[in-house]
Amino acid sequence: MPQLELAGIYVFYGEVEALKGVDLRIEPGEFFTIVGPTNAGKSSLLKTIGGLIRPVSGTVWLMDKDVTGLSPRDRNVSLLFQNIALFPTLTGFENIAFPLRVSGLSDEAIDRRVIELGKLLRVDHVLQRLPRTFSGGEQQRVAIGRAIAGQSDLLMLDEPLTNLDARIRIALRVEFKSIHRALGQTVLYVTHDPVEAMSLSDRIAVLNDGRFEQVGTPDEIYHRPATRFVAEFFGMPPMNIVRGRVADDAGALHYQVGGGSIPLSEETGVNGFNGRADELVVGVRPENVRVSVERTVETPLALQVLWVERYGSHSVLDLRLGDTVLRARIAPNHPAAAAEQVWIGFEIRRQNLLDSRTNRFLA
Amino acid sequence: MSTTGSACAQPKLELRQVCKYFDGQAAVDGADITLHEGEFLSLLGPSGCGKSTTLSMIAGFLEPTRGDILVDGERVNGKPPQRRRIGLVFQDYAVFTRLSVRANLHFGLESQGVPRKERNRRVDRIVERLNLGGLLDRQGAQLNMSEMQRTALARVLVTEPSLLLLDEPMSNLDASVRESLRRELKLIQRDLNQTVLYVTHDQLEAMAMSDRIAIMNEGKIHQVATPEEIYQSPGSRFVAEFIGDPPINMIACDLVASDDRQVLKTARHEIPVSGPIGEPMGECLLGIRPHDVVVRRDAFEYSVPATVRLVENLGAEHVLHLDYDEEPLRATVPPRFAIEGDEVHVALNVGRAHLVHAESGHVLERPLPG
Repeated sequence: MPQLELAGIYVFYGEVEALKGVDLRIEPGEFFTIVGPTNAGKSSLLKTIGGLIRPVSGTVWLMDKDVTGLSPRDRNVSLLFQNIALFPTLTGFENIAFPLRVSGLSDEAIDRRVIELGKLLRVDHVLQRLPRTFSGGEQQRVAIGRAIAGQSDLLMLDEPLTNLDARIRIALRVEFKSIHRALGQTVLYVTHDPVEAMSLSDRIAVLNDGRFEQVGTPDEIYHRPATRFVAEFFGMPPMNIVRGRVADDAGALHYQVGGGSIPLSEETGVNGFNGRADELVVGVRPENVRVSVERTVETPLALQVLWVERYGSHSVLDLRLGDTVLRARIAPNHPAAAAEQVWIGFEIRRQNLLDSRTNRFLA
Repeated sequence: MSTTGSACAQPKLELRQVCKYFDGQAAVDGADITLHEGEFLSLLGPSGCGKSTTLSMIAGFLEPTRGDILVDGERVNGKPPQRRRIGLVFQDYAVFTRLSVRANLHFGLESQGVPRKERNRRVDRIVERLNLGGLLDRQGAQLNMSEMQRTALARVLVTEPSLLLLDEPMSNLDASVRESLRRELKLIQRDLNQTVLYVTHDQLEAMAMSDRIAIMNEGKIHQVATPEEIYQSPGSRFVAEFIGDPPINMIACDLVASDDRQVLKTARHEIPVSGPIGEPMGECLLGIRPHDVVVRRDAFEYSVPATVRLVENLGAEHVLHLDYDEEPLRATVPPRFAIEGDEVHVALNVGRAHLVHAESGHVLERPLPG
């Protein structure tokens, strides 16, 4: 039995369609993330599950119970928002204990639970203090403690890291994952940040314009994106979308792009694809672009280097490809980082071919 | 506009021992920064480190308690903001949404009393360089983020500032939007050879765009250097830990003399080292980047077995969190190398690591593999 199930959810605000038929199943214990750009419908979806808005049509089940018509109080879900709101006059301890006080647990059981959570979240040193003395990270961890203390059926986290410094965000990201591993609670996490989604989740749903583009594991989403939107949403930098032509050279198929050509294998099944057999759109991850300072069989295209970004652990080349830019990720000591022109190539498989009419990749 | 002899050319901006105290507390404590023509320098640090205070002093909204601020060689302390030849772009770009792009671009010049003919000349030039020609009659509210950024930049660039200050312009934007805006900003800056001081808390943003980075913490500038230098040779423990995603490992270690050589001991490893270490120096930490932690499926020289506690999937690479000491050891590996619970074998490439003095946070000389 899934922990949460949604079927055919539609949400309208007047004329605006915020959600256009969303189906979703989250299994018990999963860390499930909904990711998408601003205005994709992420908040509407959370509010629908939490009971803060009623869908125009569709059903929400928590465990095996239809909760679509229930008020927020009558759903056993907890929600942690982006803006931390701790009770300013209560200590860290009492903030975390708050949801337990109404649950009828004994004082002793509450003490045990809060101390256990305090250790897990590494806030045991602030439990006796008031929130105004906390650092940003401590506030956030105490707020997480309060959200998870009640052991609800579903813990929903709405962009909990968004307003924090990059440094704290990276550290807390790992902690969310460790906490989840330790407690095994079912988590629905909402973010606009593709890196957070990738690194935290068991599964990801990519929301765009009120619909799911793809639902899958981080590996599936990253290595086998279903649509152009997903391909370009994930990756730093995102996937390159390359436009070229298919040419037949005495029976051998070639992909012509950027003034050169790359051989195409039979396996791609390019023949007759797309109705316009001559044009071909290919998706290539920057780390899958082969780069050399010399021409080789594997690097047949000569491209001009426009700009190099040096991240220390790796560098990213911006290369001129016709009137577009192709990005390639290389090792920090790669000689190409100092070159004005480099030779590149990439492998083309059937899964890399994009149908430019539907913007979906071939299965 | 000759750039001959750029080594001795006048810096566009100079901060000399600039301090700012609030109620006796140093918000900025002896900042020295020199910015040359055409340079893109980022002022990077966590919230509350003093970077916004520094920016406000350069712009002229705050007066320094001590120290000098020079723009084009001229001391500007005490000068009002509008007379410092400095352009300022704020968070979220703050384009006037009810005005057309054209009106946005003329706004600053009109308020400066620039004559119409000169105004038109400057606006036409920037409109062409920033490719805004098709947007002039568009309302601010109708612009997408790329158009918004270009309009915000153009509005300031028409005033022909000596120095452009950008204050976390992208901090509230979606990650996917930031990535493309930052490339566009960089291209415009290079095309115009515009001197830029960029304030941010995001180390990736600073690494991606900057010629040099000034890293600030608790009011002090820790290091000013190129992105590569900062990554490879951090000047302090703070810098080492602030730069890099995933963050650097800081492992407790001991240097022990054994026979006629030295051994670097961690909770799990014993690695012979040579090189200029010399005297015992108390408690030390080994700062080693996750990329310099070597992980294989089978045992190899100097490796120890370790269990994978957690895997972070970053797409192009994965970060393993390995059971090691009190803290886990982070290592980057190719995608799908290992799953949680796997046992792997791990060694430390100490030739690329840094020895850090635990108490002072000073970075000591590098240990060399012996």
